[in-house]
Amino acid sequence: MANLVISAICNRTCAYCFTRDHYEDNGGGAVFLDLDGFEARLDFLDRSGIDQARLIGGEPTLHPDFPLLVERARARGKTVIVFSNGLMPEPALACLEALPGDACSVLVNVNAPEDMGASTFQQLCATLRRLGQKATPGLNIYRVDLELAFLLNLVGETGCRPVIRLGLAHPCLSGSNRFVRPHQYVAIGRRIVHFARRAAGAGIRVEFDCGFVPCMFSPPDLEALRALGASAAWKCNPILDIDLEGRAIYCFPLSRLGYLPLTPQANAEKLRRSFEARVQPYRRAGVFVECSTCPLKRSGECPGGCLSATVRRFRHTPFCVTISDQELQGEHLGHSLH
Amino acid sequence: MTRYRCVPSLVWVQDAGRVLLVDQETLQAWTLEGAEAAAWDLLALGYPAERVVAMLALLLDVPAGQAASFLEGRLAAWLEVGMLQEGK
Amino acid sequence: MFLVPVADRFLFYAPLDSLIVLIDRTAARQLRRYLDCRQPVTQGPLQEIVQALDPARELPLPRQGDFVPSFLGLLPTRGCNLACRYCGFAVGEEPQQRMSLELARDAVNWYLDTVQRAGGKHAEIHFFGGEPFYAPEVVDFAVHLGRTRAREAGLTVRFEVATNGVFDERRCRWIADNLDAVVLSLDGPPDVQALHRPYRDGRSSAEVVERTAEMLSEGPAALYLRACVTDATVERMPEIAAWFCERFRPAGVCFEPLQPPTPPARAPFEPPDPWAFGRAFVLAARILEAHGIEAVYAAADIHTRRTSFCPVGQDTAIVSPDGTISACYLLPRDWEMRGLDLRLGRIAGGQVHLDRAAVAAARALNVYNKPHCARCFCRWHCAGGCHVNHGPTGPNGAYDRLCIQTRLIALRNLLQALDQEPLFDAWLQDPSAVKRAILQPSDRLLDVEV
Repeated sequence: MANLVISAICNRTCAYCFTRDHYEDNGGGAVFLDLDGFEARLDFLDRSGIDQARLIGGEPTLHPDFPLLVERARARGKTVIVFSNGLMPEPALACLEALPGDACSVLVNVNAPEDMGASTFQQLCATLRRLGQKATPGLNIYRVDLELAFLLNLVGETGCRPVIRLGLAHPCLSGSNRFVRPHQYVAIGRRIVHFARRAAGAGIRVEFDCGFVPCMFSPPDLEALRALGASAAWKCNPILDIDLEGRAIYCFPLSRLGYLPLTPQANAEKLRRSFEARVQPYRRAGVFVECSTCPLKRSGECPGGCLSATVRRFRHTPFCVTISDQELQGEHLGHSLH
Repeated sequence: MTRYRCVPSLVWVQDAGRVLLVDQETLQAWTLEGAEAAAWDLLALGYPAERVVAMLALLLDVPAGQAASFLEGRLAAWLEVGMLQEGK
Repeated sequence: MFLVPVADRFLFYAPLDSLIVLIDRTAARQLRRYLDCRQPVTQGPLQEIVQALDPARELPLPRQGDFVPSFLGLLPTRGCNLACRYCGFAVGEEPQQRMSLELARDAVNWYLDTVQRAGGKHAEIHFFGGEPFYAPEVVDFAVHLGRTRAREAGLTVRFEVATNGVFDERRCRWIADNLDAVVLSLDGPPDVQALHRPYRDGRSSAEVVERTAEMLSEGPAALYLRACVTDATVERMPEIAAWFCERFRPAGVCFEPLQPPTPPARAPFEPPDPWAFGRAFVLAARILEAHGIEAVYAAADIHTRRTSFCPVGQDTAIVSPDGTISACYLLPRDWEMRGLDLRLGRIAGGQVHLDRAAVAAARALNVYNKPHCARCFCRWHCAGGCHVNHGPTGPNGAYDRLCIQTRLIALRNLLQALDQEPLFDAWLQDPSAVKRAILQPSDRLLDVEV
């Protein structure tokens, strides 16, 4: 998998947005990916044996040639996956609406209605209605007290896919976005299980995005999630986001960890391996102090949570220490104590 | 006088009784444990060498001279591997 | 087994069987008859209750056998950089003794050796004050020594500190990264903190303590905010809780009512009215719980069964800067005013001298020796509260402040466990019903009029 950034702009200002560092560091450049650049990205996907064109932003549907990009991706036989906030311009929505169901999937990122405002929320609902089974609502949990129940009504009322993709709002390396802290995971886990039970009762399944950890759920709750058919997964790997400048990043929160150029020879597997090597020193730790001694992490079953949250635990404290030459010549430091 | 400075690109975390260090530029990684981890942490807290030696002596239950040798040895080793640099 | 009237029903509570049930009057009568004269119960649900009662269950017992501290408390100094206006530790301007590193070493070594000899796997080292970081070297040294020695002994070790949060950012980061739990005293928004917890020169400590709370919110150490509640702030507890949720990311918030001052009338504040405290705590707790934050009022923690509320009686070893080992971290003058001597021994010249008789006396300070608590449904949670600050006398039902607020909050916690918060709210609207339940002289099932 690899995500292609086609738009640097967005028509929402989510406080938890993971792209904050990236666009802060790369402002002033192109706003949209041009057609040649898009073709180069499709070449990269072909080289990598990837049959999905995953379009992200900003808000990807704001690209003025969005229908044309979709057409080009389809011409290469790609399934089009769009990561949208649901506030789409009409041509983009119509284009996605017209695609066959097996050619397209749209993950619509939802915020709580009280945070979105009524009219914006209604617009999002209208998008879900028109996309129907092509659309999957997703929500990034950005506060512990977030009520999830509204998602059940949303699915019921809009006729979208009966699956809800839950994510945790992870920190950018700068920590400038709104995010949940690892010590809040357990409280969030309890809410998720409660919600998953209600969702299952309504015939809706819950899926997990990256960065979840098993220890945020009690053993009975983990069992319950499995029994409810929730696809609980503990993953954090370089999905690869390809930015407008033609560089790969591990993921948006970790953009400050560095970029790799998308050379004509680069393929997703090589880039991923390079990134894995680059983050290996940090992988010794996890989001919790306990991670490095946890059997699940040792066995590889859990990577230790979100790498960005882990890297943020590493800090620099400048210090210096002065030793007199006399001391270095054998007059030990300690002698000066007495 | 010799002055050692922590390499600016070095970051570290206290993790389950160990100190895990990474040089963000070279991606070299180190792990410190026991008295070595304590020495690093006490220096990072800003204690002068004399006080670090005094604490190490009690921690290791050795005379101050031996603790001073221990610290000098660590400083030299950290300098060699690139965790410290000589500075003004 | 206890019975507490709630609205038109009764809360049946068997804490040692972890059994909480709401029953009606008829069921309560049947249950009484069953327990009084073994008259068989006929109702299905009542049969389930009766079956769940374990006649052979063991009572929680006070500590016995060898003295193995449940944790080591170190008091690096009694000195402090704040002059909180209600502080019972206030020690004046004179320089305070600081613990020597040698004493800290001896205390840590003795404690870890004791745990290891007893076959323990886990050690706990807590730092109290004064302000522990007024003597930071002691904390830094003890943490490293504890960590190194515990590793050698195959023990896990956990570090906790109670602090006022007045230190620089480097220290903040160190605490967040090196300790397991931090109890940070922060009484509320800036005006409250300024009112309660100024520096010695009268300046407000709000800005620096808020920065500390923000930084500690980001680190791996579990942050507990400890807010002292006075008569001036009790009505503001929900607001304080909401502000904590908005500004910080604590694991828990402990609201602690101000204790009556010793010596009396020195502090400009009064303890809060216990009824007001109980009600405000419940409102604050709901705000905190909605944010996944634990609302702590330890005496009403229905998940804990204990025979002594505090470290006293749990074989805790608190080491003072002069080497005294005591069971309590309060000032000796406070114990003495209650006629207590909580010294357990002393560390001197690298040797630990424990007074076995003193240990036995501290162990005897348990709920079994508190007849006033025998008929209270909170008996196994509150265990009579602080032995120094809470010493009710008189007949059952002569509840004091601690009893009233504890009973009110515990009742809410029990109803919450039954998912019956609306019932609690409705009940709270009826002052006579509330008084009837909270001031009920005996909660023992056979004593309650049904």
